[in-house]
Amino acid sequence: MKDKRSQIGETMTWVVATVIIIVILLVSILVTTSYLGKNKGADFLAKRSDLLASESFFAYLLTEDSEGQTVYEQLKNKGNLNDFNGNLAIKIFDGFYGEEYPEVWIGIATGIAVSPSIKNEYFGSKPVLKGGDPKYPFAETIRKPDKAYVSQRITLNESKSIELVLTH
Amino acid sequence: MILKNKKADKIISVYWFAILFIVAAAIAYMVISFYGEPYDIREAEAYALTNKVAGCLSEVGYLKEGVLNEDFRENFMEKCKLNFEVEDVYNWREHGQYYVEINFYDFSTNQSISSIKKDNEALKPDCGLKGKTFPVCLERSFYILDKEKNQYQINILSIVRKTEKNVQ
Repeated sequence: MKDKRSQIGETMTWVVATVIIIVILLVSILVTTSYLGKNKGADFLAKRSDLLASESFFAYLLTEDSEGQTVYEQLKNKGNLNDFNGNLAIKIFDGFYGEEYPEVWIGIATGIAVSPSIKNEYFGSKPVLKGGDPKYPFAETIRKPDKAYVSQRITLNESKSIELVLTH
Repeated sequence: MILKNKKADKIISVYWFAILFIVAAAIAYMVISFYGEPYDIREAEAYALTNKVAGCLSEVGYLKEGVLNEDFRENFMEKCKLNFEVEDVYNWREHGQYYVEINFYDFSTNQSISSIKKDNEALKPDCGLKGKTFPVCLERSFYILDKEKNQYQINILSIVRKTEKNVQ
């Protein structure tokens, strides 16, 4: 009698164990087939830098106003974006990259490395960038699992630089 | 009693083999479904192609000399060191797997100035269609100046088909 009871107990343990094993396997199969296998793209290769945005940024800084002063010189001499270079920046960067990147910002950053920025009336405040690496002040692109961004920075003088930030 | 135990042992062995088989089959299925799905690198390829073309047209914010000339348009593939040759599989050689279209616009007036079209234009109508079996299309723009400070907008449309090797 005792033997029979212990046998039933042991059998029940194995029945439960079998059910658990099968459930775990089914969940693993479901995850593998429905999620992991289907997301084998390679978009991470492409979004680490943006050559076209960089080219636009360089051309933007070289653009001259009616007095023959480049945007670079205007920003170097004045503290912030003005009507000419602010509206031009909106036309170029919002127009060309606004759909691709949810956040587009261009403005003056104070200091050489990752630092506070000056708010401007065309793009507002600089978006908060998590994981910025101060070792690469000129051109840095960092992809974090939560947020990725492209940042291009050109030094204007010792204390300020012009920066373009495109955030995914 | 000994006979009964032997019978139980046999049943347990069969059960163990069954569990082992189920686990092995599930793991094999998961591995096949994960690694069996090919990496879809067409988007990365389209980005690389776009960057290559942009790099060929521009030089730190300026349009390279002669880009708008007839000679550049005719010898675009050689000038930009592009090669659209593909493997001789799935009838790929008969139907080109790439298409590149470059449109030059006057930035201020938005008027078309010139355009370059290369390889299989028949892929273009599939661009608006959604689905993995259609070619991957990438259209990007950038802003550029020529040496006389004239402003241009350049649109690059890159299309990569190669569906058979990238999508199952």
